[in-house]
Amino acid sequence: MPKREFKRRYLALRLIGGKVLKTALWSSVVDVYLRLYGEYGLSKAGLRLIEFNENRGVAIISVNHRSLPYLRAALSLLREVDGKRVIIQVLGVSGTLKRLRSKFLKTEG
Amino acid sequence: MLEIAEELGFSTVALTVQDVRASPPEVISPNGLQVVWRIDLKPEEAQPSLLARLRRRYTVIAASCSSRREFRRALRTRVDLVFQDRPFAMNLSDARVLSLSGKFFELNLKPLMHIEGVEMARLLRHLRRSVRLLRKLDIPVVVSSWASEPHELTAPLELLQHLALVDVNPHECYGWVSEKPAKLLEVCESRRIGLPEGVRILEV
Repeated sequence: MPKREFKRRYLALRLIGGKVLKTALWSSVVDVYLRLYGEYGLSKAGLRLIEFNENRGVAIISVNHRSLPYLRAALSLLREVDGKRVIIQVLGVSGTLKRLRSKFLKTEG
Repeated sequence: MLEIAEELGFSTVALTVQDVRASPPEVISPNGLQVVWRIDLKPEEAQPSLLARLRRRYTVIAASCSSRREFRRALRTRVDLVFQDRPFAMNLSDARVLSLSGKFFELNLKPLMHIEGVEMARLLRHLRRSVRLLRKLDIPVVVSSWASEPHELTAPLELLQHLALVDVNPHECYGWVSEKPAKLLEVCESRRIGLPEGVRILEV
């Protein structure tokens, strides 16, 4: 069976503290990652914002599985998005979107 | 702030007082969240007579150190916990003395949130060195967010994710946010009620 060279991990996040726009959230995540690990690190991480519900403040981000600890460290340092003070809580991590949604986002609605 | 802490998954939080003359105020904590009080002293304040008085009012007595000299001084006192007020690199001999003293060490991760650039690199270098020594000598460590504002709170498991920045696998240090803080409270409670070392209350 062929093996995927780049496994991905999907993170479910919840923003506590206020409503922010999708673009603002994404640029903050990329900025903090870039600040910590530079352009080389960012290129290896392959970050993607899969979805973001602005009303509920719930987002799904995908990342290369090797860069997952670095992304989690970067997210834990992110305290401000678009001038609003927020806390980013990682609800869970999964290897598939289907599993992530069923396990961590079911109760979120 | 306590409600957010409960929402983030904390079961116990310690609130800090820095004035020895103050008494811990009454707080209404959300259901399921235990609040304990702690006092932070300077090493020169931690005299045995004062500690005996403070132990009746506070669960945890900590000493803040802003230099190696203060750190060594704090290790000679009877406080439960020592922490670095201003981060400095710990060396092997500091870690050995800390290990022999039997005190808990608090890793304060708040500065990571507020600095960047060269300062951040310097702090990470200090932290990398300290964490390596703490793990090598198996020193009981308590990781703290040191939050004074709601947005500075970090979920317990997310606190450990900072350790990825110093090349430590966070999974190997889960005890620093669960078992070690619980053990610290157990030790402090024993000291407060005057139980000798090694004696435990199994049921109340």
